[in-house]
Amino acid sequence: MTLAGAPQSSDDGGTNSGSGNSGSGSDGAVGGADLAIEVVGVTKRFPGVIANSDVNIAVRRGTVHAVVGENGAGKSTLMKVLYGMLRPDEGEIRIGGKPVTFHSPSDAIAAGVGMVHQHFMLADNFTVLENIVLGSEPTARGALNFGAARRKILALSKTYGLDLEPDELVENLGVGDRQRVEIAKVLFRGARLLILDEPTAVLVPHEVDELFDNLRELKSEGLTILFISHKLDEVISVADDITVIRRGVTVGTANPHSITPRQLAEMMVGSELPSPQTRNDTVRETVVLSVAGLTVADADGRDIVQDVSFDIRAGQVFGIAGVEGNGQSELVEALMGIRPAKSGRITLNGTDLTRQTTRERRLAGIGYIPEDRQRQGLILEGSLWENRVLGHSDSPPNIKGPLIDRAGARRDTERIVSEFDVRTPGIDIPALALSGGNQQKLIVGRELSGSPVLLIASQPTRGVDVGAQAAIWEHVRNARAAGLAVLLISADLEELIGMSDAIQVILRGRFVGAADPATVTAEELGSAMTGAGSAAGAA
Amino acid sequence: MTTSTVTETVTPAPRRFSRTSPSLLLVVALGAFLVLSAVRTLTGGYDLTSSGTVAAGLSAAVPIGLAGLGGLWAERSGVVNIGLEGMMILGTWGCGFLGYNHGAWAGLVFGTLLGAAGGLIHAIATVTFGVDHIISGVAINIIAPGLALYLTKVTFAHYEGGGQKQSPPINDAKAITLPFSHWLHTIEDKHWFAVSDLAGLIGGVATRLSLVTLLAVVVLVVSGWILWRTAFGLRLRSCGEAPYAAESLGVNVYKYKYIAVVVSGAMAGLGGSALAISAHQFRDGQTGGRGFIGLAALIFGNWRPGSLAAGAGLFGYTDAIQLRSSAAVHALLLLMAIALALIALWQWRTGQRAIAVVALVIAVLSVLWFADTKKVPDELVGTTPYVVTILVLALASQRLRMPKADGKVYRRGEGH
Repeated sequence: MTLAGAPQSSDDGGTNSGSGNSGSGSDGAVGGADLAIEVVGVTKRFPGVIANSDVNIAVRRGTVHAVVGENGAGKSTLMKVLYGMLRPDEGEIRIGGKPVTFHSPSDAIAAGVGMVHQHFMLADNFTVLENIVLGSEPTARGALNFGAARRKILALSKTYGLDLEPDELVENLGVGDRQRVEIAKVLFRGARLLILDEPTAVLVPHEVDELFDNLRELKSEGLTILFISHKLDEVISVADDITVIRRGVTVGTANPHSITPRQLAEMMVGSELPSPQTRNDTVRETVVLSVAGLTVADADGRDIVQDVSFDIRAGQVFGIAGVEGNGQSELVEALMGIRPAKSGRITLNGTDLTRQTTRERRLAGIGYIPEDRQRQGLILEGSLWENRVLGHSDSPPNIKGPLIDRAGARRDTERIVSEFDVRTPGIDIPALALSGGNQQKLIVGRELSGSPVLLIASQPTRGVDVGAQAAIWEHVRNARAAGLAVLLISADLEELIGMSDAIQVILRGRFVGAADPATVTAEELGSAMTGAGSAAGAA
Repeated sequence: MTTSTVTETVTPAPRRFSRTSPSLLLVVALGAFLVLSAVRTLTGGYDLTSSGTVAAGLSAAVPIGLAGLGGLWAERSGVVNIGLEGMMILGTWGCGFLGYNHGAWAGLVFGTLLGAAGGLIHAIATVTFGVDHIISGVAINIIAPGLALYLTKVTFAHYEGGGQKQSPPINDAKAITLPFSHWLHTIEDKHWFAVSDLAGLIGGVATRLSLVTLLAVVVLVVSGWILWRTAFGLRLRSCGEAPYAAESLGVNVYKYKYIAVVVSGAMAGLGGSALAISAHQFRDGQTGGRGFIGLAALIFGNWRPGSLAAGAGLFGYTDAIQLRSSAAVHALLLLMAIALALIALWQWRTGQRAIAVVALVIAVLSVLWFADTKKVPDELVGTTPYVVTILVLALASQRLRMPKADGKVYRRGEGH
């Protein structure tokens, strides 16, 4: 599919120079008529940051247009501007060729723009119907007209294949269903342009496929979709056009049919990508962590980790591969002392940790990157420097005598921010103001501080963009070279193979086989994780 | 490429509460009535079902129910209103102020307005200034009685029948008596099983039914209809469940919270007025914690108008029994034992084993207490009804679910 506005494919890895290209490009060659929405020279500043600077996007009617960029590149800000949640400082938005000004989301809705938020905006205790009609309820004689609403929702559901049950409570729905409710919400209001903010971030693979089917359905009905993402392979599979944003600036457009994920990633990051390869061998003789016969029970008393034994040496990255839910989380929690071990022995540098508390284990030198950074890794409402103290409130630079050393903690937070490239306007802002990748970099920086001997990294790069991912890999690699032992658990098999010195496959709570990272392929590892096609499928 | 074959953990979602069917309710009500008749016949605690108890219970339930309804409005919009007690006190004083020379209805209107004013203060503090809901509510509870007492000294002290701590008498609000009620009393006095009890029940409602009570029932039904059947109500409730979702759909959350909290105060003021009218005057300390009891009825009623009314009715009924006869309070022990045993059975079947055991143990203890004594000690008569009601409600309620954003401070544009 080629395009009138001719976004250049970037086979050479280069880009259209962003500034000013659409001023001439979109106005002249394309014309406003077949563009659903146009963003012209939009700039949005916040105190201390310029989130968008001269952003230009032209979206053709009846297409899926992807906007890609790293975490913190300014995609979400741009979407909020488009949806009337924020006002641009400069530039304008044109719909059907005419400039529009949105003072609130209601204006955007009235102009046919709908937003599907990254974090669902749904009331759990309401039914699907109530969530959909809220704010634009059909009424009859003073009361809400449930019958008319139900009919309209079922009609929408049928037309776009959304498979909705109007009277089900939203709390009973899975993530994919909730997303369809969000989509139905904007369709119910007559939106012709749908903005989807990182819609696949919360979905499992088959739900992603279903979503893409829905999007194709919507497109075939003549709707336009603006799709925000940093998952490049997904973008390439679903988008008709791609616009790339880097650090708040549109750096160019790309044709999904002729670009590879790697080229797109380089366009996004602005430099050549590092790979997760650890290259040289740094494994030393000393065993740092020794686990023998560890068994962990879940709340119902079933053994969710069974008789697991392994050693991790200094300078070694030990990877565990497995389908989620096969005991990895419980294993990590047992190592951290969050969950009691039923039997077995955990030794760190010769000291028995099996009966120690989590705090004692941390003091013994274990750093921990939890799998869910927002729930387990940060206090979202706390400032960055307070989050720096979190989990390390017993050791310098965070304390002086019995008291918290504010100055010391703040100084050290500044160090983490600069060393780990945490993009933030300051260390006093709450952690929730950071994008996911920057939150993760802060956690990695914190856990690598205070010279740990063992790092337990659970999904260290989940949901972060390629730039942050590369940075995190680099830091872990450096620490490894300095003798850190690392336990790596990741669903990203490329990462696992590239980073690890040894890999064990976990299935139903047992180690079922070792793999050599130098020779194994992701496909082989993937089939080993599911029990190599034997009757013992995924748990 | 990542082969992330994530296994989905499909938890079978239990439907939270399928709305109780009318026929089931009828069966439960009939069962409760028969148990009540049986206990009355066995123990001779005639006041368990006498028309006097029913009438007194009804008028005792009204202020509690209205306070609970006030809580329902506020909390459904996401504002915790612990200041109901204070707003009720404002209502009692207001009713006394206009009631003694302009009649009960003028008093009722003024009391309601004063309650609404209390609600407005709470709304300004919590919604506009983001003060913690509990702190604002407690402040109102501290200020209101002091203010009422001060105003009493200023206004009522010089009038005949008034005093430092009370208003002059308020005229009665109109009450209606249905024509057939006198022969209901005849049947009631025969003490036949079930028949006399039914006559007592109907007689209690049909004799000298205050229009205020009727008004309270209307207000309850209309509130339920507004909150659950109208677009306005849906938006109001969305502010209590997911204010940022509501905001993203163009709902003015501040506006709905304001309306809800002011209405909440008005309901509490109306409840206070009802209290003053049934006591025929304003008195200092008249509310006696009924605002808090209303809040308890709201919580055990799972933030729903029907169950809230049932809870308020239970409080009113036991309160009336306590006032009328200590023999009936003794019989109440047996009644509670039966109720708790049934609750134990039901909770056991729904899998709440721990609650079932607790209920059963208390049931056994109260049977023993009942069998071993002839009457409840006078010192405990006053409290027994409250203890009984709290026990029954607490053990019977399951999976209480407050509005999700209840008590959380909302700031426009700070959703994430």
